[in-house]
Amino acid sequence: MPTLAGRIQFSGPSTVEEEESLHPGTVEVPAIPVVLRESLPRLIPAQLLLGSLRDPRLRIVDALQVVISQEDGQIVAEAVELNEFGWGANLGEALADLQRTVAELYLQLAADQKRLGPGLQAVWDTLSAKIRPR
Amino acid sequence: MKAHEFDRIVNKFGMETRQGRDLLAWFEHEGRVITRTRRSKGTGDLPFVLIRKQLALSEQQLRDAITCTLEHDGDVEILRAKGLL
Repeated sequence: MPTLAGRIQFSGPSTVEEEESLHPGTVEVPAIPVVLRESLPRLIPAQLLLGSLRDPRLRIVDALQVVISQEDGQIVAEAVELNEFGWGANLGEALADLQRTVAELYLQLAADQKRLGPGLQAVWDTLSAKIRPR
Repeated sequence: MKAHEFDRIVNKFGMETRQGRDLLAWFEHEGRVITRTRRSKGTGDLPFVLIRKQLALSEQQLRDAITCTLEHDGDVEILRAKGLL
């Protein structure tokens, strides 16, 4: 049985030189050399909406606003309205850390909700409006 | 912020702690939970600005806490002035 490579036929010139020999004067060689990079620069969003905590006990019913920044070479994902953050070497790690931390925050404040000071009471009000137990 | 600086603040302020995947620390006053923060077990410096916000301190106040010129009673006064107690 013929291999795939054996069945594929390419048509047309395969090199600039071959094209130039077939159609003189038609090939324009760019004056600016093309630089190939090993990787593209990674674009990190300034903010995003978080819709899951990856925790089977909890579900988000209203997405959390997350602000992304860099501090000391680390990526920081901050849920500003909860005064909570996660961080890591890259965006994925920072978001995973934030998800775990927010779940932990929910469970701790739920357990302590009858004895929260005004600052954490405000956080709990926001948390309980946006996150529900499954 | 270095991990040992975080630990110094936790001790100076008399914060309660619980060791899980991270070290959770919270400040209680008269039976109420007032502020809460945590220290990751990971390597590298802790995010100074964000821990400062969680402790409801100014940048200078947190630096004073690290250098031990701000202790428990001073923190209580700061939190009281901010209406957090």
